[in-house]
Amino acid sequence: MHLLDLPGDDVILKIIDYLSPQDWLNFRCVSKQTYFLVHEYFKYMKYLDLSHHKVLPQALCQVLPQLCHSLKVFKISNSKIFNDECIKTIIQNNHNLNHLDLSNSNLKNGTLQPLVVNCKKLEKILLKNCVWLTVGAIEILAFHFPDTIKVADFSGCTGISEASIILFVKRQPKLTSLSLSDLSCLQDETLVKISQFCPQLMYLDISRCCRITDSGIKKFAEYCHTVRTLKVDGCEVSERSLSWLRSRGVWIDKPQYPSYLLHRLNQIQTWPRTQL
Amino acid sequence: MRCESCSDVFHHRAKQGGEEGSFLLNIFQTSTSAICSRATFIENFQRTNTIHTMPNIKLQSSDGETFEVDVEIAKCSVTIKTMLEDLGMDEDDEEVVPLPNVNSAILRKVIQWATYHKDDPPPPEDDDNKEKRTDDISSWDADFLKVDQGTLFELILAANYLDIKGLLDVTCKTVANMIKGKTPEEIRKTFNIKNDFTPSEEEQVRKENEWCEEK
Repeated sequence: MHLLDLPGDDVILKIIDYLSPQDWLNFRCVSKQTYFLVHEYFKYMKYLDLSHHKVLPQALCQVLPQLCHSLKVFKISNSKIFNDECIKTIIQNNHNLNHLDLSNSNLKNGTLQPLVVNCKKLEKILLKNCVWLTVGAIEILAFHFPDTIKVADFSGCTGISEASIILFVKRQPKLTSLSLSDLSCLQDETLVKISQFCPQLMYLDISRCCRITDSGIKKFAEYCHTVRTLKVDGCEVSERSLSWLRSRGVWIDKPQYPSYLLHRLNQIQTWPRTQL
Repeated sequence: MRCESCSDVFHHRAKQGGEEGSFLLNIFQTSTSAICSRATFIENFQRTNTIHTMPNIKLQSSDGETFEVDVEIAKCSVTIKTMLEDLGMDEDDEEVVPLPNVNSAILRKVIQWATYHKDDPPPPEDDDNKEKRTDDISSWDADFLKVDQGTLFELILAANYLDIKGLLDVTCKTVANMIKGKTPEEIRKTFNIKNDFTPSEEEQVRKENEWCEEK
């Protein structure tokens, strides 16, 4: 009994599914049959994570966009493998995509265009530090995309505006996780709108959004009762507003006491006890 | 040498001498496969014991050997479960379920695996949103699958035919681990695969995969 005597569709593709991209390349080189099988696998592949890959052989960059038609998860964060046309082709050909991660990529604005037309089942869109993202792109997503998105990350997308974010969240009531850290455009009003338009929100990251104040946090706390995790590190907010949320069991990344005070408390606790 | 029923390694006992020792030594010398005396005893007891605490079913391999198995263990195979339901077979029926695609040696191994895993929860459906791992094979399964390649591939075929997801997953992971981290030439050597590329094709594929060779 030989490895290549095993049924291709049921078994060998299942085995290839356990291999890494590097192993695909090696297995592909073994014989004509393995070359064919790896290419067949790409047609049925559902999960593709090339995050942190700085380089891949050019042939794979050409082959993957042409052959992948069944992807559900496509991640290329921190990766510079594919150019805009390749990513557009992959998005165009994979209508079942439900998780897209292009964080820290360097692409053109029009790359997301096929997403709106072709991927109606998208649930997670991660575009952290995509400075190429514009107000127009967010507005197109807001107006033309179905309300399926549960997780969105626009942290560090310095090209978008507060109004476009509000428009987006207004159209996505199923959001459970929203990351908007490092956006200096974000003000208290956005927080209020988020709390009003996202009735299922559980996770919010507004770290280093320097224009958020205690007033915004208080109003957010008033309207949003579903949040369980709030990240406000680097925001100018205090316990005057955060205590409202802490009392409801919300986990907040900013410590309750400043670090110098914590240090002092620790010191006091280690003093030797004096008998009176 | 390993017992095919309980996986107990008994060759050392054959060297101990005495009545049991010589009996085992005899089997060892006359057969390439055997069941140790303990497993034989258990099988005989189960065959002759008329008090059945659990209903059994008879499975017949391609080479005509019949195995009596607890029906709940047999039903870990979706193929067998469907056959029983479609044929409306009672658990106490004397009827035999034929399995023409599985020989006795492999069927015995499959029953052994299913018996060990009988209390496992049903395996979860494949999560397409997660990367597939191969580092989570249990030590028992790893020992169970320390077999020659031919047997491993036969087990894969049997798990596929009988539709036993847990066994198919662990056997495929085992083969994937045999491929991972190897160069093309090492993979060819491991699985005895002939390189049928022409020199120019091989050159073309090598060019396409330049990064692959810079490990």
